Amino acid sequence: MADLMLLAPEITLLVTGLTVLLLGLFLSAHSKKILGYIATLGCLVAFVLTLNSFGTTAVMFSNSLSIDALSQFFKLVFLTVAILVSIASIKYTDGNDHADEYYVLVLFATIGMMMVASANDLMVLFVAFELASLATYALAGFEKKNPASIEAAMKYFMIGSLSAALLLLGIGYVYGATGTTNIPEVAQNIGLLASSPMGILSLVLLIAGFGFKIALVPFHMWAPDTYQGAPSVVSALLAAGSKKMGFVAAFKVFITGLIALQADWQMAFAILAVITMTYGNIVALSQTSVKRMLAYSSLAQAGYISMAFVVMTPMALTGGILYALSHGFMKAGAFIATAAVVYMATSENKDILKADHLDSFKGLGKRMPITALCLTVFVLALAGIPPTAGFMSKFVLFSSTIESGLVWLAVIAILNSAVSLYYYARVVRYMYAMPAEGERISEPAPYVVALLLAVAGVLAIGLWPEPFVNMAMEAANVLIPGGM
Amino acid sequence: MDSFNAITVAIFLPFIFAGLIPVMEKLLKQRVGWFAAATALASFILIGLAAPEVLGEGHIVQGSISWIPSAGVNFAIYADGLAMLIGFIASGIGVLIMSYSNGYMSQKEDLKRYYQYLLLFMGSMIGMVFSANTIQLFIFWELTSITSFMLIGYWRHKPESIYGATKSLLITAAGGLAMLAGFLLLRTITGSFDLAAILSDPQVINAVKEHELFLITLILILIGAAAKSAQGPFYIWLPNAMEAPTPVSAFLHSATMVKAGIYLVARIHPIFSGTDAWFILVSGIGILTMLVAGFLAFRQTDIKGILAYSTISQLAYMMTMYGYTTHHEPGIGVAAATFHLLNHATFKACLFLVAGIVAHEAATRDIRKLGGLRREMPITFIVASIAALSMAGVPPLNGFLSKEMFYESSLEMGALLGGGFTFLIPACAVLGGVFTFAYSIKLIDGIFLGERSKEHLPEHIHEPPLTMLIPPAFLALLVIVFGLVPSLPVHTIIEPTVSGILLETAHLHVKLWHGFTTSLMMTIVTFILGILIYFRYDRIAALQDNFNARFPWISVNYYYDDAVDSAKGRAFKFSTITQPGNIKYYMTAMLLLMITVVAIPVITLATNIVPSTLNFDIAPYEAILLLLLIVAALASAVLPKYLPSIIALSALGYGVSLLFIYLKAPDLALTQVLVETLSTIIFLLAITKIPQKYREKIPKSVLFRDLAISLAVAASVFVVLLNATQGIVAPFESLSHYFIENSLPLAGGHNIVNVIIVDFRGYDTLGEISVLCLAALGVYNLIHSRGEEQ
Repeated sequence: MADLMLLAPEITLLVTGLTVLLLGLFLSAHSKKILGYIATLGCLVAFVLTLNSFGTTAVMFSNSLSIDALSQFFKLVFLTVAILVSIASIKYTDGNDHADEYYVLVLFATIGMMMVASANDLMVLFVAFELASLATYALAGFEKKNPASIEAAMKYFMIGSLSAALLLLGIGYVYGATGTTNIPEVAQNIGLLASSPMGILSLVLLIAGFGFKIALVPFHMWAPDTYQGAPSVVSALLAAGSKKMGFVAAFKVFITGLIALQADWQMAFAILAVITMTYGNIVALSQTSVKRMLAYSSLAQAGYISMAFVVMTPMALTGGILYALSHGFMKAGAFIATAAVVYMATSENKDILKADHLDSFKGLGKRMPITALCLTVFVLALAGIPPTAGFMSKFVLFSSTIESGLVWLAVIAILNSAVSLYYYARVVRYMYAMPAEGERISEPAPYVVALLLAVAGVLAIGLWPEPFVNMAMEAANVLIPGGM
Repeated sequence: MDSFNAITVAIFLPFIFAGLIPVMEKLLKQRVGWFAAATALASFILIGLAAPEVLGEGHIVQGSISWIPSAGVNFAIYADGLAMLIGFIASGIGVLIMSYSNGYMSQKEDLKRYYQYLLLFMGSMIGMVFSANTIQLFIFWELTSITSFMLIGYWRHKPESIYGATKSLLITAAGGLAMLAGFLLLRTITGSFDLAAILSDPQVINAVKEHELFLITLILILIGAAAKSAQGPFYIWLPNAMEAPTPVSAFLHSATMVKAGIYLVARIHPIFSGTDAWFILVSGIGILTMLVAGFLAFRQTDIKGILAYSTISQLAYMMTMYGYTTHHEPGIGVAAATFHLLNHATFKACLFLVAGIVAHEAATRDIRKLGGLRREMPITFIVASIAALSMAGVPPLNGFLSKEMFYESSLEMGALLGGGFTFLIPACAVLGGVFTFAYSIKLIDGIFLGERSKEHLPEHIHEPPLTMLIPPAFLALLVIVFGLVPSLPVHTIIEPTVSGILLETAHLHVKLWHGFTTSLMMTIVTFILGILIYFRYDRIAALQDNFNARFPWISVNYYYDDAVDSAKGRAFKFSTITQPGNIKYYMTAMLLLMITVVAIPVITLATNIVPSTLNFDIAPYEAILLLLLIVAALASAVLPKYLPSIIALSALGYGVSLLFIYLKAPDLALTQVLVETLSTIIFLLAITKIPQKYREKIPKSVLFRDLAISLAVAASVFVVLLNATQGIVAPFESLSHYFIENSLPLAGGHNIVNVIIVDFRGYDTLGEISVLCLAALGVYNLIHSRGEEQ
C-alpha cells in the first residue's frame, strides 16, 4: 500500500467538512460566516497538496484507487471550482442558518468528484459518483422556500436516480462479462464483452450514466431546468465541477477499460458530440434567462470536449483535458458573475421573479464594472475568442481534429462556435451597449475575489498556455501510454 | 535596439499604455488624448527603427519568443515590406486620429474608455501585420474585431450604434473563425502554422496548389478576408459601423482595420495566386463589390454613408488588382494594388476627418441640408477638395497615379485572358472609376458649393480648432506630395512591399506623365462619363430608392435582419418543443433510448442472446415469494393513497431480503432488512407531512402509453439480465478457505465469524455501524421535529 499521504487532499477536505459540521452546531447564524473561510482554506490546502503530488504515480487500496497525472489534473480542476464556489458562497450564505450544511455538502461533493478521478475500480467509481451526486442534489434544493430551487433539485434527483440505475446496470453487465470491476483488468478480460452482440448495450448504459453528468443530449434535459433553478453558485459547482466528473469517469472507463470497443463508442460519441453541441447552441440563441443560456452553452461545451473521444489522438485528449480545466474557470466564473447580478437584482426588488433575466444585465458596465468586465472575459472565452483559455483549448482540440483527418467534425464545431458568438455577444451588448437602469452599487467582496481569480485563470491559460498544456499532456499520456 | 525588439515593443507598447490610461487620465484630465497620440508616435518611431534593415537593405526581419512549443506555435515576428507598410499606416494614422480626437471628442465623454480601445486596437493591428504564424495572426485579428465592436458601440444610448456594433462583431468574428478553419487546413497541407516557413519554401507552395484541399482552404481564408474588408455579401456591416465616432471611422473603418482583409490577401498571395481559383474568387468578388458598392453610394444622404460605400468600393479595387493573376504572371496588379492601398489610406482618412469637422461645426451630416460652406470654412474646403479629387482620380494627385496603374493592369489582365475579357475587364474598371468620380464630386458639391441652406444650418459656422484641422491638412499634403513626386513613396516603401508579396526583387517606375497611353484615354473617358452621370445623380438615387422600396428582398441586409430576428423566434419554438419541462417526458426519452438499444440486437439476433439452457427449477416456496413480490410491486404502483402504497413498497423490500436468505446470503439479507426498516420509517415520517390534496387524473391514453413504456423497460432489463448470466468468465473461488486458514495465525481469534466482522472486514463493519447510526439519528430528528410542530 502506497503512502497514505497521497490521499492527504481528500482527507483534508473530509476533516474540514467535519469541522465545519461540528462548529456549525455552536455558531449563531450570523457568525457562521467564518465557516466559509474555513471551507475555502481547506480547499486551498487540498489544492496545494494535490499540486505538490502532481507527477506521482501509485495505486492504493488493493488497486482500487490510482494516483496519476490524470487523476491529479482533474482533482486540481475540481478543487479550483470548489475554491471559487466557496469564496463566492461566503456572500451567498451570509446570515443563513444553514451555512454549515451548505459548506459540508460542497466539500463532500468535491471529495466525491476527486474520488471519481482516482477511482480504478468500477464500484469505487460508482460510489464516489453517487457521493458527489447526492451532495449536489441537496445543494440544488438549498433554497427551500424557493419553488424553482426545489423543482431544480427534484428533477435533478429523479433523472439522476434513473441514470444511476442505468449506470449500475451497465457496470453489472461489464462485471458479468469480464468477471472483474477493476478497470485495467476489465481491459484484459474484454473478449467476451467485445464479441457479444449485447456489448454495445453496456456501452449505452454507461454512456447514459456518464452522459447524465456530462449533460449530453438526450441525457441533458435536467440540466437547463436545474442550472436555472438552483442557486447560481451551486450551478457553478454543477456546470464547472460535476460535469467534469462525468468526463473523467468516461475517460477512465472507456479509454482505459473498454478500449477494445473503441469503434463502437467512438461512433456513439461522434453522434452525441455533434448533436449536443448543435442542439445546445441553437437552443441557447433564444434564452432570455442568463443562467439557462449558460446551461445550454455548457451543453455545447460538453459537445466540444466529447470530440476528444472521437479523435482519440494524444493531442486531442490533451485538448479535451485542457478544455475541462478552462471550462472550469470560464463557467464557474460566469455563474458566479450571474450570482452577483442576481444578488443585486434581489436586493433592489425582493419579489423579483426572474432575477437572472437579461434585463438585469442592462448597463451592468456602469452599475457593477468589475463584474461586467469579468463576465465579458468569461463569455468571450466561452465563445473561443483569443487570447483566452477558451480559445487555446479550442485551438488545441480543433487543430488536432483536423490533423487526424476529421475535417467534417472540426468544421461542424467551428460553425457551432460561430453560432454561439451571437448569444455570447448579446450578453456583452446588454452590459455595455445598453443604458443602465439604476445606480452604481458596491460589489460584494467575496464575489469580486472569486471573479478576479477566475479571470486570472482564464487569461493565464490563454496567454501562457505552455505549463497547462504540458500538464494536460501528461494526463493524456496516462490514458494512451506511449502515445507521445 | 535591434529590429526584432523594436517591433515587439511597438506591438506591446499600446497594450501596456492602454492599461495606464486611467492613471494618466487622473493626471492629464481631458488632455489624456495627447498621451495616447504620443504612444502611437512611439510605436511609429519603433517601427521606423526597423526600416533601414527591412526597407533599405531588403532583409526580412524574423525572430521568435517561445510561447506554446508543444502545439508548434510561438510568438514570432515576420517583418517584410508589406508588414512595414501597414504597420506605418496603422501607427501613423493613429497619431493623427488621436490628436484630432482631442478636438473632436467632447470633454463630457468617457475619454478613458475611448482612448483605451483606440490604443488596444492599434496594438492589435500592428501585432496582426507582423505575425509570423497563422495562429498569432488570428488572435490579433479577432482582437481587432472586438475593439472595433467596442468602438462602434461607444455611444451606448443609441440603438443604431448597438445594432451596428453587434452586426460588425457577428460578421467579422464569424468570418475570422472561417479563416481559422482555413488556417488549420493549411496546417494539414503544409504541416506548419509558420507563414515564414511556408513562404520561403517553393516546394511547400507547390504542394499547396496541387493539394485536394486547396480550394476549400482558399475559400475559408477568403471568407475571413472578405468579412473583414467588407467585400461581397459581407459588406453590410460597414455602413452600419458608421455609428462610431467619426475619428474611429476614419481610423478603423477606412484606413486600417478594413485593410486587414486586403493585407491577408496580399500575405497569402504567393501561396495561392497563379491559379484560376484565385483569379475567379478574388477578382470576381472584387469587381462585383466595386461596381455594386460604387453604385449604391449614390443613394446615401449621410456623408459618412457615402464614404462607407466608397470605402467598400475602393477596397474592392485592391481586391480586384490582387486577384489579377495568371499561371505565368502571378502578380499583374500587385504593384498597383499596393500603391492604391497607401493612397487610399491618405485621401479616405482625410475625407472622414473632414466629415467629422463638418458634423462638428454644422451639426449635421445630411448632404441634402448642407451646402455653400466654402466661404465659412475655406481651409477645410481646400483640404476636402484635394482629397476628393484624388479619390476621383484627377491629376496630379496620388489617386490619379494608382488609378492609372489599375487601368493598366486591367488592360494587361484582359489581354492575357483574351476573348471577351479583353474588353470586359477594362470596361468594368472604367465603370468603377466613373461611379467613384461621380460621388467624389457630389461630396464637394453637396457640402461646400451651391447655396447655403438657412433653415437647416446654424447661423455661424467657422473653421474648426487647429487640433482638428492639422491632421487632415497633413494628409492632404501627403496626397499632393505622393502625386507630384511618386518616386518618394514608391522607392521607399512600395517596392519593398511588392518584393515581399511577389518574393522577388521588384523595380517600379511610376511617373506622373507617362505619355499618351491607353490608360490615359480610359481616364479621359472616365471623366467625361463621370460628369454626364453626375448630372443624373439625384435621379439615379431616386431610382434606387424606388427599387429598394419595391423589392426589399433584393438586399443582403434583408436576409441578415431576417436571420437574426427570426433566429430567436425559431430557436424558442424549437426549445419549447424539445424541452417542455415535464420530468416524465425527460425520463421517457432516456428510457426509450435504452429500449431501442436493447431491441435492436434482440430483434436481429433473437436466439443468440438468450442462453440455450435455462434452469427453470424453481422451488414452490420460492415461486410463492416471487409472486408476492410481483403483487407488492403492483400494489405500490396502483394503490391510490400514500400510506398503503409505501407499505406495499416496503413489503417488496422485505420480500427481496427473504430472497437473499434463500440464496444463502444472510449478511446481505440482514443489511437489507435494516435498511428497509429505516427507510420505511423515514419515508412514513416524511410523507405524512405532505397532505394528499388531490388525485392526479390521468387520461386513459397516457396511462396505456406509460404502461407500455414500463413493460418495455422491464422486458429490456429482463433480457439484459438473462444475457448477463451467461457471461461470467469463471466462478470465483470461495473465500471461506482463506478465512478458515488465516483467522488464527493472522488475527489470533478462534471464532472465525468474530474475526471476520471485527478484523478482516473491520472497516466494513465500522461503515455499516456508522450508516445505521446516522440513519437512526435522522429518524430521531424527524420524530423530534414532529413533536415540535404539534
